[in-house]
Amino acid sequence: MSFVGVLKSGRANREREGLDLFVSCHRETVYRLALSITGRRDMAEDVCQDVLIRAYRHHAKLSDSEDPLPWLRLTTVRRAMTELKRHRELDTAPEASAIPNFAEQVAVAQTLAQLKPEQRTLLALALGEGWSYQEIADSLEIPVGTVASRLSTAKAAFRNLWGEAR
Amino acid sequence: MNPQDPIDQLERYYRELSKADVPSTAQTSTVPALRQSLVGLGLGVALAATALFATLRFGGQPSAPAPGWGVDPGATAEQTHHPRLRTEVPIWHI
Repeated sequence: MSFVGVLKSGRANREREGLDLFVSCHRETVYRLALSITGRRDMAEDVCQDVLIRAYRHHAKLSDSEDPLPWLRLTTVRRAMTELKRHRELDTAPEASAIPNFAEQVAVAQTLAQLKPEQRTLLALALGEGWSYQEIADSLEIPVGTVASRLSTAKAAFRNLWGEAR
Repeated sequence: MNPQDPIDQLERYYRELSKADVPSTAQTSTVPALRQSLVGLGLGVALAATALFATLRFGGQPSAPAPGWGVDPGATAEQTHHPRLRTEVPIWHI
């Protein structure tokens, strides 16, 4: 192999190693956040794959000195919400096999599926992920006060739907 | 905490959800997709560079002589059949 070939091969190997490392470091975080919002493994995998591709393409913005996590979380939330909106007309109720002991959770899952994508996202971030109002506000680009009021509305909607089903 | 509050049920749902395994297929499908995406991006850039080079190098020149291009009014029919030949340097100058 020529000298140039060796150089190119080395660069390709380094890129592949960098890609593998990047994916292995952040895949679980992105996947779990996407799963919390969508409640479905197939949608979470789609979101995870898309976010990691975007992240790797925007590698220049995510320099070594910068923590990529905030960018990944922000992009994952938006991408997952888009996925919920896109498939709203379809059956986007959380699937049974995604959750251990699902038998007790079916009612919750069915109720969640009736909420708006924004409400599902808010509940997932606040109750599921434990994000602060400020973190949610930053991710959704809305004021903190709006987060509080919309979260309250989302909880009320969930309670109403839950009550109607019983 | 009120055990009958639906929000408690919702919190339990999220706790259960967080225990779900991360499927290994996510990794096996993501990395090849990323690689394919990067290869596609590289091919796209190479194609665009080739098209740009071709445009800059040959873009201003017609692929065939325009009608009447370089025709000498006094040329014979055989000469006008090969108009490009008459634009070349005469052989006795080489």
